[in-house]
Amino acid sequence: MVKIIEIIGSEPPCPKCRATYKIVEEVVKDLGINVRVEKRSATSREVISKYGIVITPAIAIDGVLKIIGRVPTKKEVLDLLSSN
Amino acid sequence: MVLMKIHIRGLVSFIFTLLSISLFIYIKIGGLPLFPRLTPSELREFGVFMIPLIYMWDYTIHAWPALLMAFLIAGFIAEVIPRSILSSYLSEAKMYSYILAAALAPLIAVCSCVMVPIFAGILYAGAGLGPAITFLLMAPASNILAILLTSELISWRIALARYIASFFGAIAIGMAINKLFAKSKIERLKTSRKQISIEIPPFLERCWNGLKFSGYLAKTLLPIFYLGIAIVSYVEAYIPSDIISQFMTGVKGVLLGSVIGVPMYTPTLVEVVFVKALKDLGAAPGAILAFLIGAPMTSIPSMLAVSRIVGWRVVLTYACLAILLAFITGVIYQLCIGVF
Repeated sequence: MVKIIEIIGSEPPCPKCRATYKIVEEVVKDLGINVRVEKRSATSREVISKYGIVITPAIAIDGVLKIIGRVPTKKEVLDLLSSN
Repeated sequence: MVLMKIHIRGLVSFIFTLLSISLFIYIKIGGLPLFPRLTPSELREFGVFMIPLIYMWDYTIHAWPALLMAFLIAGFIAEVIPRSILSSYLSEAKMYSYILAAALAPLIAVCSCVMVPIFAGILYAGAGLGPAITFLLMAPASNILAILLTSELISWRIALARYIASFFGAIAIGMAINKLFAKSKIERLKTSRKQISIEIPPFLERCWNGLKFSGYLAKTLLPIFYLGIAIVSYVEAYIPSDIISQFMTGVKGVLLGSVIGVPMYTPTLVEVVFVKALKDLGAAPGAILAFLIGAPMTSIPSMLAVSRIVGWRVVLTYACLAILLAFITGVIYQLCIGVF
C-alpha cells in the first residue's frame, strides 16, 4: 500500500507550513520511496473531523497525527517515514 | 556524536535563555530605563527625515533587553507547553472550557495565522462557539510578548489590567455569543481521537527548538515592529499634545481609545509603541488601556478570516461587545486607579 503523508497547514500557507512541506518533499525525494504527499487546510471540515483541533503545521502519516505545531527536522521526517 | 551535539546545543540555548532573563532582571534592579527617553519637542528638532531613524535608534538601544527577553520567553513557553494539551482539554463543551481557552490562548498563539485554524478546530470539533470566541479574543489581546512589552513601556499596572480585563472579558463575550447564537446551526463534527501519536522530543532539544522559534518570531515580527515605530515617530513628533490632552482624556477619551483601534490595523507589539507615544503626549491611562484591549480584539484581518467560518453576524456582535468591554474597562480603570 502506498503511504499517505498529509501536511496540514493554514490557508493561505504560513511560512512554517511551507518550510514543513519543503522538508517532507526533500526527504521523500532522497529516500526515493513511493508515497503520496498531500496538502491539507487545517480549517477544512474533513481535517477537523479527522484530527480535531490542530495547530499548524502538522504532519499525519496514514491517518495518524505525528507532529503538530512545529517544523520538523529532516532527520525526524526520515525516521518517521522509514520506521513503519 | 550526534546525540552529544543535540545535548550541547540544547544546554547552550537553555543557559542563553536564563542569562538573558537574569540580564533583564539585573538591569531592572539597577534602575536603568528600558524605554526611549526623548520628549516630543526634542524629537522634532531632528527634522522630518531623521525623526524615524532617531526614534528607531532610541528604541533599539533602550528596549533591546526587554525585547530579547520577551522573544525568548515567548519562544520557550510555546515550545515547552505540549501542544496536545489543546486537543485533549478543549475537545469537550464544558463550563471550564471557557477558562481553559482563556488561559491557554496567550501561551500558544502568538500570531493570527496560527489562531484561525485553532478557532475552527475548537468550533467544530471541540468546545464549541463560545470557547472558540474566547480563545480568539484572548490570544491577541494578551499574548506573552505584548503583555511583557506593555509592562516595560507603559507600566505594570496597565499590563496587569490589560491581562485581567481581557481574561474575564473574553470569557464573558464568549458566553454571551454562545447564548445569542445558540440556535444558529453550527454543526459539530464527530471526531475519533485515537489517531494521534505525537512524539515529544527530550527537554534539551525542546530548549533548542524554543530558541529557534524565538528567532523565527523575531524575524517575522521585528520588521513590522520597526516599520510601526517609524510611523509612530511622526505621531509623537507632530501631533500637538493639546489635541491629545483635549481628546484623549476623560470619558470621551476612553470612548475614542476603544473605537480608534478598529479601523487602525496595528500588528502585535506596535500597539504598545503607539500608546507609548500617546502616553508621552498626555493621554489618560483609561484611554490607553481601552485602546490596548479594543484594538487587538477587533483586528480586521482576523475578523475577515473568522467571518468566513461563522458569518458576519457573529463577528459584528463580538466586535461590538469587545469595544464595549474596552470602554467599560477603561472607565473603571480611570475612576478606580487613574494613574499609569
